[in-house]
Amino acid sequence: MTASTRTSRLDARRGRGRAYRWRRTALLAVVLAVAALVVPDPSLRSTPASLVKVDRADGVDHDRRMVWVLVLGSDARPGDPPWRSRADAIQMVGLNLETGRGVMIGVPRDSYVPIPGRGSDKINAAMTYGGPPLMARAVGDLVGVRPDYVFTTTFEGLQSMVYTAGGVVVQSRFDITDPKMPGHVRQGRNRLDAREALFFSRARYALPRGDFDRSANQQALLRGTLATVRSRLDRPGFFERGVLSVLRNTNTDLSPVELYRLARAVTKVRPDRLRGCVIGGSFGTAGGASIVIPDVSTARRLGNEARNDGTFERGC
Amino acid sequence: MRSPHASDDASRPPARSRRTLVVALVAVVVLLLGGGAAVLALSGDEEDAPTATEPGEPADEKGDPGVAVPTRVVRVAGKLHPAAERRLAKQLRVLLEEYVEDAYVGRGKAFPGFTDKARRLARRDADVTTGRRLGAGDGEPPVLRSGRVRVAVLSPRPRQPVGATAAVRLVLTADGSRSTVTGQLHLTPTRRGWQVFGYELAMSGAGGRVDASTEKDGTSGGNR
Repeated sequence: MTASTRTSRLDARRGRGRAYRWRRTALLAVVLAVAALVVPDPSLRSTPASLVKVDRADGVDHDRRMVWVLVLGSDARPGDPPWRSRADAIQMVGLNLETGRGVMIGVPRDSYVPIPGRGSDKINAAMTYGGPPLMARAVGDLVGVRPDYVFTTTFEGLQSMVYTAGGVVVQSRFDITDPKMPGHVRQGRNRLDAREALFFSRARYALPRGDFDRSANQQALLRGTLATVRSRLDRPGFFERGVLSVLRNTNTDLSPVELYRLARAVTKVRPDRLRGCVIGGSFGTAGGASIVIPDVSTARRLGNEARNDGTFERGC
Repeated sequence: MRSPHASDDASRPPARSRRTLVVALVAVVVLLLGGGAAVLALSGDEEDAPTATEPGEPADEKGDPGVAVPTRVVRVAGKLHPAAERRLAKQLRVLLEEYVEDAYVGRGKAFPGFTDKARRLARRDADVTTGRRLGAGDGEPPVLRSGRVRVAVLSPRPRQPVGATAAVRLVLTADGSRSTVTGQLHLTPTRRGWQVFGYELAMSGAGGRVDASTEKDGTSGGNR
């Protein structure tokens, strides 16, 4: 085959290719034109982006408007029943499930108070005398509000719950180190793992006001936990895993169904509307032990103000 | 050395191009025959492919509720026996289909399957918990284009689930506009069976605007 023959054949192929491409382009143009003419305006149209108004609504059926929960952190060691050891953390939490507001009243563990049937003693001793029911009475007498529920957990239990939540974010007022336990929390925002959360709730020696500030830190931990949980509620199964962890790591007489409904109601409370106050007092001694003489009138005022609507009218 | 057929192939339109032409022609035919609904089919939007029930789910013994909202248990905290899981999924599907049909398709406010207080709360929030804002009140009732429910269950014991969160996604149309309802329904077992005791719902697109979101999950329901 000569070179000129090959060239003419290639030219012929190129010509057919060009003709084909023209035909294809023309046909596609016809298709598009026909489609534009005959396709009715679709009733449903997907757009790549749009600004859409979103309306939201939420509500939870709970049989109480105000719920008071006594949260106790027991210093029971692994294997010991939490209700037979002293309570290191004592927080009376009042939640208004209608308004989403709430209060936390922190009780210093060394508060020297009358314990029903036992005379006067440190309030955390009520736990060893009569378990959570006696603690509920002692704290109730101090603040003038009876808790509806008592939750008791341990160091291990707290860590397990924080672990299940995937850590918590807290705001710390102080840079905290403690000579008696390892750990460090810096001032400001902290993301705490389970061990750090326990440290944050227990450390007190480096705090300016010792046990009072520790109680405030426990409130910061509760607030941070609530915020963290709320931010993850849209993760499938997160809420259920959390409630299961609470079931396994706290001592409560609520049935699982009651706990499930209560927990769902609690998540409606907004962390920024959860105010915390710690009952003040002065230091003293009793029987050679250092104690806190609580400001009972302030404790009663806080309880009275928050009893029915979950707010402190006059602050702490 | 080139194949003897190579020159013939080169002289014909490439196979890919032929396919393009065929697809284009088919598209025209489908568009002519199918009208607007075909637009969605071609765009890959699977929301409008209703499925009657979950695979393996028998038809509802109580009769056709009118809408299908496939319901699947996707998370279990604790342990749940397979039979209990199937039973729960079916109970929740029936409950939620009745709610969707009454509230969104029927624009009703009976809230079947809700506790008394949850029903009162839901009536307060009827703009979102029902379809009353969808389309004109005297126009055609809303149509459920697709729906799906994903359930997370708390079950401390294998045969005793104690609570469930139903993550809901519904796509409805009314008078030419599309609305999407997303959110959660909270349920626990009661003496009357499982009941909704709480909700957290959002409705987008109500009032004539169009939601551009697309269904990512292939499982979808719709009006039967």
